[in-house]
Amino acid sequence: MERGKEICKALKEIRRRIAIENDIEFVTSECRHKGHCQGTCPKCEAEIRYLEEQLESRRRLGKVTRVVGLSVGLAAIAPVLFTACDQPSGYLVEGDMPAIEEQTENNNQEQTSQSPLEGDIVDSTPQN
Amino acid sequence: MKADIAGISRLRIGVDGEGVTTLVAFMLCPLQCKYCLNPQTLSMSYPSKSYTPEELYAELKIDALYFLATGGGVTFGGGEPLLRAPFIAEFRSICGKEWKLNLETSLNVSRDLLETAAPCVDSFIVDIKDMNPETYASYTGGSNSGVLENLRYLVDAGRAESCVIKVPLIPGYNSKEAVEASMSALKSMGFNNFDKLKYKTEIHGKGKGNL
Repeated sequence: MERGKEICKALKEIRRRIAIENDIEFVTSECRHKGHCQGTCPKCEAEIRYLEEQLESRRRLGKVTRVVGLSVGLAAIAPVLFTACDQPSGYLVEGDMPAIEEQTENNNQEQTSQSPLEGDIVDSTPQN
Repeated sequence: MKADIAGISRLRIGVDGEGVTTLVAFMLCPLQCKYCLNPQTLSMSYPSKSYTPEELYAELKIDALYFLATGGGVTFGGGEPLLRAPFIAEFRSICGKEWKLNLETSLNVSRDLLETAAPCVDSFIVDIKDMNPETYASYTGGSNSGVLENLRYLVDAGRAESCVIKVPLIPGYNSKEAVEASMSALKSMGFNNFDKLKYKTEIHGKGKGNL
């Protein structure tokens, strides 16, 4: 599975845990996108915004919410992300550096609401 | 206060810090490393964008739930992030204590900048290149005397355990034996967390930058 899809899978699991822990009804579906995945997309972004709204409404009602540390053991969620990386601390590499003005130009693309450049979420090596 | 930022990369997992992180790459660096992966950060003609700490926080908080849930946060790189130490300190005052802030740095900056940033940062990823002064100068074009002083400062400040020291094999500049010698010297200083790696050499000089 490509790295972007693994990130998407890990983030979805984090969202699911937040929802369960805070008793938020949360319906998601399996991503059917076939092309390159940046790890998030408008559908994923909408899900996390929905959770933010639900958490905020609970806080306004004086309810206690719990988010901090729910998924600290991220390696357990997405072990592939931690074993497929041969250079453990990463950095921007060729094609990875998102030109800032382009970050907002392509928000309508199906598969990304962030930096649209290929290779944006990659493992690589810092070399200052 | 504004800082020029070359790029922001969201939703990184397992590459530069615990949990889900966002990488913020500052412009400018005091070094001229031969195999620099991001030479565009050295060029003032690169189309960077200026941010205030408040503006940066407003942009990054979109991932706050992921940061909080996973113990992640923001990794500042570049370029050399410590050149923007006051910006980072201000950013910390805005984002609060719950986001983890990591620095990916060469430590080749004046002590006052490190002293400004250190109390605001949770962890350091320090690329020391090579501990041998001649090798360091040959590869970076600079001196590592300030790096050594800053490493000692971090040890004296009780921050050695919050540092991961990158000890690279630099093709054409050092050897596996030199890497071991660097690690030995660092261990004697009090550092225990190392990241051994080999630099990529094929990127620099392709004529199209890193985009």
